[in-house]
Amino acid sequence: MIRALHTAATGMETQQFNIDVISNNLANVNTNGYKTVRADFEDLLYQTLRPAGANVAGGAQVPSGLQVGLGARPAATYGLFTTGAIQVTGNPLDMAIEGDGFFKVLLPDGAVAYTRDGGFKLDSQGRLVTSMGYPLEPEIVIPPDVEQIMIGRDGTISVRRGGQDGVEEIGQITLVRFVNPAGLNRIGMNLYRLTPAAGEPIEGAPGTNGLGEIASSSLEASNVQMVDEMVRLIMAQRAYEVNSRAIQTADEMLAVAKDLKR
Amino acid sequence: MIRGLYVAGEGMSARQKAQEVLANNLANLNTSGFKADRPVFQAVYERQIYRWEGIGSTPIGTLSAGAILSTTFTDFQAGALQTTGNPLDVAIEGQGFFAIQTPQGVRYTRQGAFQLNAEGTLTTREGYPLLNAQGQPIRVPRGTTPQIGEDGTVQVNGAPIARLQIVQGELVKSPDGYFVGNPAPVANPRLVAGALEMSNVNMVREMVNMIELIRAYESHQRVVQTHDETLGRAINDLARI
Repeated sequence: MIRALHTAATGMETQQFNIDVISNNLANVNTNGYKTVRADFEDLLYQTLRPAGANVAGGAQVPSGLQVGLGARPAATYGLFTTGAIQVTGNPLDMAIEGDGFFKVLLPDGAVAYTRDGGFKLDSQGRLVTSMGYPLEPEIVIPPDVEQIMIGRDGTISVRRGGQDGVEEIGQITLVRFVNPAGLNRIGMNLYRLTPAAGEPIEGAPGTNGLGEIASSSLEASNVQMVDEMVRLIMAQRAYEVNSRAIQTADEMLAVAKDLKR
Repeated sequence: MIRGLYVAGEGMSARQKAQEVLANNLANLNTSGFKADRPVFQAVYERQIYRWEGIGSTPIGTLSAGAILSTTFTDFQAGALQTTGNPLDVAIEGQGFFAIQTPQGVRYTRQGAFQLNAEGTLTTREGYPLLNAQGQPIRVPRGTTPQIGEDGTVQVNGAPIARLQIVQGELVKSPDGYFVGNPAPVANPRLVAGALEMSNVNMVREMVNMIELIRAYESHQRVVQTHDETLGRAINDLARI
């Protein structure tokens, strides 16, 4: 009976973790480029009271052993990298990736980070930077006398300077994609960092090598599906409740055992 | 018979003390930086039992005299982080403790809710100064707000002025609510400014442990009652004429 108490407790803790993950998804339902996370669970170790296949007296073999599990625990938080809805914003510096790939940015300590959030801005030197000021890599600098910026689907950046009629190319966006994007490490600020689990970065121009194309003047919305999250929330809550029932039942049975001697 | 009474009584007393530990954990469910305590039971007074055989005695085995609450150990698992947005709130990711100066000596804590006092010294909520890597309080110029970086550097207007002392080692709880011990500096601490570490008390665990304690307590009570009844029979009914 005491075993059931702790087993059900792990069940409740697991659902608590599930709700933590779901509530983070819901908190990021309006975060550009956010990729929803799903918590995966696994069962805990089993106590083998009689192993399957053991020989018993008389030469018979036990067909199915006697094992009791000890609960559940979170196994992984898996990011789902489906493309979110593309919203046209009209801001010429906004970019959305239609398909696979990440923008590459440089962190202050020189390390490389990746993001799907294409809401870039200009800093005081005219560089294209993220909302936190991290520059795009390779660096794109917009000259101060530019009147119009055009970003093509293949990532070429063209500008029309003030007083002139022609457009000139001033840079090229490169995207990076991974075999296993769910293996990237999330560090907040809509950024991901490389880990060995993600695989080797596959770099290139948008539209080449399996990389998606750039939709300019648009942003990719969060790919959180509210309906899915609400359904998972309901399931987590009911699982939590039903595990608490298991604890209550185990408690009541302990009380009955205690009351054998009145 | 009397032996059984004391064993059961000892068991009830141990469970009661364990319940107090649990109650303290639950009372600190919302205390930032609190580390839960776990009661540890120990079987005691194993004695040899002998059988008297007229001219000598034969050992027939050992009998434990029950369990006592031998110690509590502190569970140093990290609590969840709560973002507060207050730049003077700091949480340590992974191992490490802040060092503060109290009138009773240097103490350590995980609670990173700091503030500036009238002289511009970084202190805890109770006014004890936070210590830098050299063991000295940290003072910032009047009117400025320090920024605490990920590696523990304290910056004012972009210029670093001090490094927080982050240490790790064998620490025990002291009566004033902090930790005491002889820890060593942590090589690469990871701090998060604008967040506080919540209590690591797990409500579900504490409730389940409480259920176990209560049922054990009640079982001991039954044992005491049974002993009492049997004693009563022996005293009152055996020699009834």
